[in-house]
Amino acid sequence: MRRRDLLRAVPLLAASPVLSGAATGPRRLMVVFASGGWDSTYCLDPKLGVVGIEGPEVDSDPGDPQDVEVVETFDGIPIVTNPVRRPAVATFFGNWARYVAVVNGIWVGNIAHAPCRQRMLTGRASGVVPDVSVIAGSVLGGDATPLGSVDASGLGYAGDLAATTGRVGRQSQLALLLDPSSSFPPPFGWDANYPGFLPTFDDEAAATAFLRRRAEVAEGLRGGGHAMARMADYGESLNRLERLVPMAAEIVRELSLGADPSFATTAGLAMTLFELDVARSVLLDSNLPWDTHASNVLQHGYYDSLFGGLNELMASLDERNLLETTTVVVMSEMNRTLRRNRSLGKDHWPWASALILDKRLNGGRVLGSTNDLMEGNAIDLASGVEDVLGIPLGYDNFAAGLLDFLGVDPEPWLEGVPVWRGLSS
Amino acid sequence: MWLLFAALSCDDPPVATSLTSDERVNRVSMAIRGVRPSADELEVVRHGGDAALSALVDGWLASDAFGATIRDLHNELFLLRSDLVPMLPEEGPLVGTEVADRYASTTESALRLVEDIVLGGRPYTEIVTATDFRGDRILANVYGLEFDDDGEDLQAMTWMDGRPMAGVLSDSEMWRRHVSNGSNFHRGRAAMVAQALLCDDFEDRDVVVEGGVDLTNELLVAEMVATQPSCVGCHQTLDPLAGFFWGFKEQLMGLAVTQAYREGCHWPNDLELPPPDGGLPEDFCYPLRLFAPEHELGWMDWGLREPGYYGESASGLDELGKRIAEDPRFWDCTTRRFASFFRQQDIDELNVADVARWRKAYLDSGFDARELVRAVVLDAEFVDPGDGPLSWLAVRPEAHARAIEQLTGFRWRAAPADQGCLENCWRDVDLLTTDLYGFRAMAGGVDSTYVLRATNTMTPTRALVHMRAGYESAAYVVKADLAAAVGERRLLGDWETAAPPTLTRRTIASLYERILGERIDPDGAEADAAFALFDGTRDVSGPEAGWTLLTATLLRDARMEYY
Repeated sequence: MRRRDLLRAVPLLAASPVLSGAATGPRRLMVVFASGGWDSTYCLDPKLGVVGIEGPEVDSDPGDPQDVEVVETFDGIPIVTNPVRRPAVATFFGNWARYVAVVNGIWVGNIAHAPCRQRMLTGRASGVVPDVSVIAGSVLGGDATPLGSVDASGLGYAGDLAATTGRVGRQSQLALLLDPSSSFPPPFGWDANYPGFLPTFDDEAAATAFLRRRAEVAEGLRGGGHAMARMADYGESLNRLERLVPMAAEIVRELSLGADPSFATTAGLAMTLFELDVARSVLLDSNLPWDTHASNVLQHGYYDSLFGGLNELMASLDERNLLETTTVVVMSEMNRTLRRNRSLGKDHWPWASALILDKRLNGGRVLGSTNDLMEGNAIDLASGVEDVLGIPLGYDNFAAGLLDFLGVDPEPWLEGVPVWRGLSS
Repeated sequence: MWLLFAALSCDDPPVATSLTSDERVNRVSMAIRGVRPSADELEVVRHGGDAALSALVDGWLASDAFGATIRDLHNELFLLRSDLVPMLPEEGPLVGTEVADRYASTTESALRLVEDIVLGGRPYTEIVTATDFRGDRILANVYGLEFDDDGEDLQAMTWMDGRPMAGVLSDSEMWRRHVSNGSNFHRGRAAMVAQALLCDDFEDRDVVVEGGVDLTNELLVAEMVATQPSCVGCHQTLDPLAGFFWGFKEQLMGLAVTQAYREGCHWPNDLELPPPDGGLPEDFCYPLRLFAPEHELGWMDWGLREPGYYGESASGLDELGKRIAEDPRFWDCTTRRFASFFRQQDIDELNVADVARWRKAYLDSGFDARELVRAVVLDAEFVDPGDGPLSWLAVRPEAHARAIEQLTGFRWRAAPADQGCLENCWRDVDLLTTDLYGFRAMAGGVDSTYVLRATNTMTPTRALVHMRAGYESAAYVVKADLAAAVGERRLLGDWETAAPPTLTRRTIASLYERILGERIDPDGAEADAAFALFDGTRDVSGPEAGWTLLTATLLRDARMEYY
């Protein structure tokens, strides 16, 4: 049985102590990925004054009395702030900390970007597997939405749920595809004009019906099992596309064709996709170059930009009546080392942090922790609290915990992985 | 009785039928070349059977299209075709060149070397021992290589900066793409080589940093990786491999070249500051100085392990190449990488006995990769897959683009730069095989920067890409065909506006055979359905629109998407 087949067996919105009775609409997930590896000592995991750790304080200008690093507590969450370099961090937590859970000390078990990204997003170290955004979108959307999930970053993993998910393109090329009348011009001297043909609605409907009939015939030709699954992907893709196209004009309005992507524009797109009920999950890139090997001082600006964007995102979600139903997960694939290297940058560190935002969350909490060597402390997976008899929170437990929190049974996707239930406690 | 019949018909999966002769020819042709077989080729195998298919494969393995497939395979392995990062700028000797040409010249050099070795029938092991490669004027200008302006566009060339010659291991673009960051000391490059060529995946392993080892203290790290038990397991082999790459700069990005030109390509003499780490500004102006022999022993400065190959002492990239070429793990890994690509399976999913069989064919041929490909694609399971994992294979974006061009003469090219671009503008982009403006990763391919693994099945976005590509290419070929003389047409044969229905049906049957490799009865039910699709639009919008709609629809048929 393919994993997708299991969808039918997985009860949607399985009872969760936090969610039951609280939902006022369909569950949605927005994953914001800080690709490159953020330095959590600049924000989520205060280590000011800890011997051996060079946090944000090493960048302070002694001549500027305002340029100081402090630990402020927002609704019970200690956060490192700096009014000069990262004012948006304090603003964000001042506004939203009550809906926030910070997760520290997630063991990633690697220090290379690609494998760490796969681990944090999928909960698996290897294999062709879907990420939590794709799984959640597929299960939460089912057949109700044209797409289960959308990868607006290019960073995601579709696995065997590829037929449920869509991509936007690095520079929003999806706009070109959804709007048949739009096109880049042909090169000089090239003997073609675009669009060469604009099918009518009836043309496309007839073509789709023709293709569907042909696929149904082909489906049986090479037996069951894999053969049927491949053809099922074809049919499902056609079906989803057919439901997506009528929403094209509204989607295209949110796409900035040919422009370098920004967090703000892709977050806007994500909210529109939610409003139109195109998808139930979206994966975004923070679009900031967090991999600061050569100059770690750049982390200040990236944090300020990210949290400025998150603050606007949360306000927009609220304004657009999506806050009640949307879980926002902000994560990076790894952390950065305790001290700076010879280029005053920092290298990779295999313990990650994350941020979960949800109005229905028992917020204002820090789940998990690190010691003064920036290693995760053991926790009790069931409660999420520190427990010397427990184990460090692994990337697989974390991914399973996210799915569980969203009401998606993680077992079919992360078979045998103990579920971290910190978010639900 | 009725209940039993109902139960059987609902619950029993369909039984797989063997592939027809046409389906086999199409499958092998698409796998090897990414293009459809001709009507003649289909006919030859119908009569000649497996022997005729084998003979056809001989020719296909010598074709340019197979060479393109070999480049595609190695791009998925080496991840070189990335247009999402800033390209080398139009400066100095590159003024007047197009960014698309600079992209192709640089990213294809290693891929072309592999193609030349494979198509030339040379031992595949030469990809890590070759002493020269082919490049164009742009590549020569970028790296200061000899080039005869009166000669061919692509000429044999070799590195002139003292680097040891070791095929793709010496290729500059490999190490511009696979950088070394911070205190990585080329370990990432070593891991990439081990993973791609030896199937030894260091990055798959768990990394346990015990006791708070400070990874930024290079000297401490050097000591720990040699003594700490949790580190030694990987680093005793990884670090000596990394030791071979010290002659290369850690990185040399396009933006650094732009910056160097802004600074006048020299380090000001009046500055008493030391030059920036990694070299002088002049290193970042053309010809780029990516390799410096004097840095090859840099590992000594950090107390790291000396270069070595899995416990054997060695020095220099050329020796690394020789060790890899002689390593049975390389032979085995090559077998698995090729099989994985053609069968669209993870290397871990391959059957051990199958791998042994293909490996034997490869070794018996003296490392001729063409024989390896032949063994894989003529394997019984490949040509008669039943309902197993090979039942339907998905066409890759690059192959899809080739098939579309072969059938319609159309490449979906565009000039996005005309829309307000001022610097390093792309004025001629192939939309199906690139990502900055195009749709390669959206259609299931890799972009080599973010999307590192192909998606070998249908997706909604891919369906959308192919829908648009289908309409554009169909419009192009139908318009051209209807304007051309009968004998010069690609798809529409001798059809004329006043043609009787019988001729229209014959043309439809011919379209099926040409595009899908499928023979249908011109008077049968399938032709009826196609005729209805054609006729519905012809009645409203005319025959050109009717043919365009039908052709575009066949170009995204399930049998075009899968083979």
